[in-house]
Amino acid sequence: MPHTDPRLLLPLRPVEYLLLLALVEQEQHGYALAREIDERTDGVVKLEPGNLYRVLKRLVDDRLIEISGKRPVEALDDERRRYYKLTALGTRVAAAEGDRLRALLSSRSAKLLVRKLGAT
Amino acid sequence: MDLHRSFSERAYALLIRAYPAHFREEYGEELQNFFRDQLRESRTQNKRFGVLRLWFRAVKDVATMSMTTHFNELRNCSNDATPNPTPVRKATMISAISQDFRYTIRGLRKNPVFTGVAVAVIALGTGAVSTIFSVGNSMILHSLPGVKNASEIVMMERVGDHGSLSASYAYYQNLVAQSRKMSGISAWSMLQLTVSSGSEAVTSLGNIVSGNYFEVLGVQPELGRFFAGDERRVPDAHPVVVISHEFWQRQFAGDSGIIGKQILVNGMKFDVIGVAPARFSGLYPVLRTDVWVSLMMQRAVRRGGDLLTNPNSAWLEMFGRIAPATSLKAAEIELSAITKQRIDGAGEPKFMNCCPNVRLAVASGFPSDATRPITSFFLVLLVVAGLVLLIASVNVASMLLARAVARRREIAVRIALGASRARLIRQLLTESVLLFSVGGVLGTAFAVLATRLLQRIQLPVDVPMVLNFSPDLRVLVVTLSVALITGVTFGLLPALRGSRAEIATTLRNDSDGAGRGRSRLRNSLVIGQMAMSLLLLTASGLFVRALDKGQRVDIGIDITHVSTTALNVGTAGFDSTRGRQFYLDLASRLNAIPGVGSVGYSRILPLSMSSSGIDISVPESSAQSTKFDRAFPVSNNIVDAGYLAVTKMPFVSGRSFNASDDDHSRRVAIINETFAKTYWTVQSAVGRSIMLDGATLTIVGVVRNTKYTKLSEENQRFMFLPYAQNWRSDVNLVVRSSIDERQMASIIRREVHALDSFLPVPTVTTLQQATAVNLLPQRVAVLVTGVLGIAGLLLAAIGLYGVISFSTAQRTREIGVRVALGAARYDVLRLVVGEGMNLVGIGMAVGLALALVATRALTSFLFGVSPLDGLTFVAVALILAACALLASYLPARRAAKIDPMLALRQD
Repeated sequence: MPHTDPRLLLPLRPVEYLLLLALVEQEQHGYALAREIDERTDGVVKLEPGNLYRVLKRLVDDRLIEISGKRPVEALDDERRRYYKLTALGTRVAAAEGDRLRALLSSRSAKLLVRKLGAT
Repeated sequence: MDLHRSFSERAYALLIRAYPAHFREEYGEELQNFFRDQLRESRTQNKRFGVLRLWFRAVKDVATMSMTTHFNELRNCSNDATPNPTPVRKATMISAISQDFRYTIRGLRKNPVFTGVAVAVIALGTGAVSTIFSVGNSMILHSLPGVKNASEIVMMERVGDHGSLSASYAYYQNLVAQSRKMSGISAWSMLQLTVSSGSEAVTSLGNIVSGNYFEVLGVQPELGRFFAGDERRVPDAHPVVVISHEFWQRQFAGDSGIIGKQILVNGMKFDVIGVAPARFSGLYPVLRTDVWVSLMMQRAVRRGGDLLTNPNSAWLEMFGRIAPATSLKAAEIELSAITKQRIDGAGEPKFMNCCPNVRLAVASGFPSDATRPITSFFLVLLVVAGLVLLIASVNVASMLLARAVARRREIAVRIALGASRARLIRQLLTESVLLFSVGGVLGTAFAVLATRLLQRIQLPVDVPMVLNFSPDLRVLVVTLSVALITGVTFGLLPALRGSRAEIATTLRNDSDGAGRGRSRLRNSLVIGQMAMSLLLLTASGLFVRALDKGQRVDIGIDITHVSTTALNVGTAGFDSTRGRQFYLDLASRLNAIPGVGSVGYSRILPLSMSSSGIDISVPESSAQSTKFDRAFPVSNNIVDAGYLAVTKMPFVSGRSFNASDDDHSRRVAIINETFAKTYWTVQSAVGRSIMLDGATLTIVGVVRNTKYTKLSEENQRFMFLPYAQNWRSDVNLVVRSSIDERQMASIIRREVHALDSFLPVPTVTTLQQATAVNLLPQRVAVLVTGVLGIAGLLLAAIGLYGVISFSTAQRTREIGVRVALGAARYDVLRLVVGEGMNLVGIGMAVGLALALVATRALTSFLFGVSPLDGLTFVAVALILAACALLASYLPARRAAKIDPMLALRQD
C-alpha cells in the first residue's frame, strides 16, 4: 500500500529535500536538477550522476516524484531526456519537511545557538 | 574533437556496466546523457584538465555508487517480505563471497612463497605508478594548494606576434576597471627581499601584490588578516606584510603573538598583519614564498623609482578569477579588446603596441610556457611506471595460471561435485583481487617512502623550493583502483582458463599434454613482457645517451673552476652610487686574493634557463643587407669585462668592454656572430650602431656564438650590454680561481660580510652546479627509467624463467624419452633454450616495433639524439637477449640433467 500520511516519510535526507524543492517550479531532467542544486547550494552539494539517479530512483519508488515522459531539451536539438515531476504526495511531503525544519529552527536551543554565534 | 568525445563517452558507457543490470537498464541512457552534459561543460570551462578532472569524478562516482546499488539490491532481495524471484540465490551469494575469501586466505597462507613473491611483485609495480602519480598529483593536479576553486584562476599574459609583455600598473588598473568577464584581476611581481626578524637577516622570496590578491585567490588567513582599506589604496603609507605559514614556523617558531610584531624588510620596519594558510605559496607553489607586500609599498622594497606612476615600466604579472559561466575564449576576446582600445587611445608608450592581445591559461602552478613540457614529462614517466606495473601484472598472471594448472585436479573434483563454472571463476578471481589489493596497499606504502626520499633531493636552482609530494587520499584511491583493475584484468584470463578443466581427462589421468592452450597463453604473456621491457630499456637507454650528449654539448665558454653567487645590494637599501662602489670594492678585494684569476658580474648566469629579451632596431643607414627589420627582440645579458674574461668568451673581432665605457661615454654593445651576420659581416659589424629605447649604441666587439640560456637552444642573435652603463642592484658575481670551491665560497662570504655586515650571507655555488639545472629532466629520467627499466627487466627475466621451468617440468617425461633414445645433453639444452629464445625473439620484435613508434614521444628531451638511435637499440637488444639466455639456460641445465629412468618412472 502506498503511504498516505506524508509524515511517515520524514525526515527527508537533505539531498532528497533539495531535489523535491528543485521540482516545485517546473519539471526538469537529471542534469538540470544537478545544476540547479549546485547553484542553490553555492557548489556545496555537487551531485554526480550515479548518486543523483540512485536518489531519484528512491524518490520514484516512494512515489514522491514521477517520470513525466521523455522529451527533447531545448538547447540540444535531438537529445531526448527523461523529465521528472512532483507527485501530489511529493508536494505534501516536501511541505511537511519544510514545516519540520521550521519547527526545528524555532526551537529554544536553535535560537540560543544563533544568538551565541551572533555574539562572537 | 569528435573522435575524442566519442571515446570518452564510449569509455563511460563501459564504465557504467559496473551498475547492476536493471539499474543500468532503467538509468543507463540517462547516466550517459548526464555525462555528455558534464563533458560539454568541462570543455567550455577548463581546457586542459577539465576532462581529466571529470573522469576522476566519474570513476569515483561509479565506483562508490555501483557498490551501493549492488549492496542495496542484495539487501532488498533478502529483506523484502514480498515474494522475490531469487531470494535464496542472493543470500547464498553473500555467504559464498565470504567463503571465497576465507578459502583464498587459507590457500595463500599455505603457499607463503607464492603469495610473498606475487605481493612483492605487485607492490613494486603499483609502487612505481603510485610514486610517479604522487609527484604528478601534487605538482600538476593539485597545482594551487590553498586556493579556492583553483580551476577558475587564469594566468593572464599580454602577448603579440613577437613575444609577451608584463603589465604596467596603469594597464592593470585599466583592465580591472573595464573587464566584466573576470570576477577579479590581481597583479603581482616576484622579488628578492632581505628580511630580518631580529639579529640575523635572511634572503627571502617575496611577492609584491595588489590588495585584492588573497581575495581573488579565495585564500583565508590562518592568523590575523590580509591587506584591507587604505593599505590597498594609499601609496607608501602602510608598511604591513603578510608572512607564509612556513616562514612563521621557521623564523618565529609558530609564535601565536606574531600579529602586530615588526620585522625589517629591506631595512624598513613592517608590521606583520597576517599569516597565510599552510602550504599556500602563491601562484607558483614550488617556489617557497615567504612574504607578501602590498603594491602600495613598492617604493620601499623595490628601488626602481615610482613604478605605480611610471607608464613605461612593465613589471607586473597578472592573474584573475574568471566570472561564472564564462569561457576562456570570451574573456580573452574581451581583455584583448580593452587592450587594443587602450593602444588606439594612445594611452600607452609606443613600445607596448607590440602586444595587443591577452592570452589566458588556467593556472597550472607553473609559468604558462613551462606547463606543457612539465606535464608531458610526467606523462612519459607515468607511462614508464605503467609499463613496469604491466610487466609485474603479467608475471603475477602467469604465476596464477601456473597455479591454476597445478590445481587442475582440485578444480576438476569441485566441478564433479557440482560447482558451477561461474562459482569457480569467482573464487579464482577473489584470489587475484586479494593479491592485488594487498600489493596495492604495500605499493602505496612504498610510494610514501619513495616520495619522502624524492623530496630530499636538492635541486640545482638558486631559488628556494618547497616540494610536497606526499601521497594524499586521491593517490591512495587511484593506486588501489589501478591495483583492483589490474587484479581483475590479469586474474580473469587465468581464472577463465583454470576453470575450464575437462573433468573426465583430468580425473582419469594426470597427463601433462593437456596444457597446450594454456602454454600458448603463457607464451604470449612472456612475449608481452619481453616487448614491454625492451620498450622500457630503450627509453632508459635513450635518456642515458641524451644525458651523455648533453654533458658534451660544446657551450662555447669555460664554466669550470668558477664560483658564483647572487647578490642584491638594493634589498639592503643601497642607492646606485653606493651599490656601484660596493661591487667595485668587492671585485678588487677578491682580485687581490692569490689564486683568483678574474672576477666579474652578470645580470643572468649562463645556461640558467632564464633569459631577458629587449626590443632593438637597426637604423637604415647602418644596415647593409636587405634583411632590414624595423624592431625585433634580442636576448641579452648585462655583464662587465670581468665576466667575459671569467667565462673566456671568445672574441671574433673588436674589443671587450673597458673602463672607459661608463655612464658618461657613448653607449656600447657587444654582439654575437649570428647577430652580426644578419646585418653585416663579422668584421664590418664593429663600429655600426643599433637603437635601443631611443638611444644609439655602438657595437664595439663581436663574439663567437655560444649557448646562453639552455643547452638545447639553436644559435640566436644575442647581445651583451656593459654593466657600467646599465647598472642594476641584483647581479651574479662570478670568480675564476684555482682555489678549492669550498674555500672560495667562504672567502666570498667573508669579503661580502667585511664590506657590509648588514647584507645577508650569500649562498655560493659553482657555475657548473648552477648550470646543472639544464640536464635536470634528463637526470631524473635516467634515474627513473633506469631503476624502473632494471626492475622491469628483472621481472621479465623471472617471468621467462618461470615459464621455461614450468614447461620443462611438464615435459620431464618427454625429455626423459628423448634422452633414453640417445639425445645428448647438448641437444636437450638446445631444445629448452631454443624454446625460450623463440619467445624472446618474438617479444623483442614486437617490442622493437613498439619502440620505433613510441620513442618519438621522447624527441623533445633528447638533445638531438635520434629516437631511433641505433646504438641504443642494439645495446638494449643485446642486454635483453643476454638476460633471456640466462633465464632460459638455468631451467635447461636442470632439464639436461634429467635421469631418463627416474623421469619415465615418475607419476
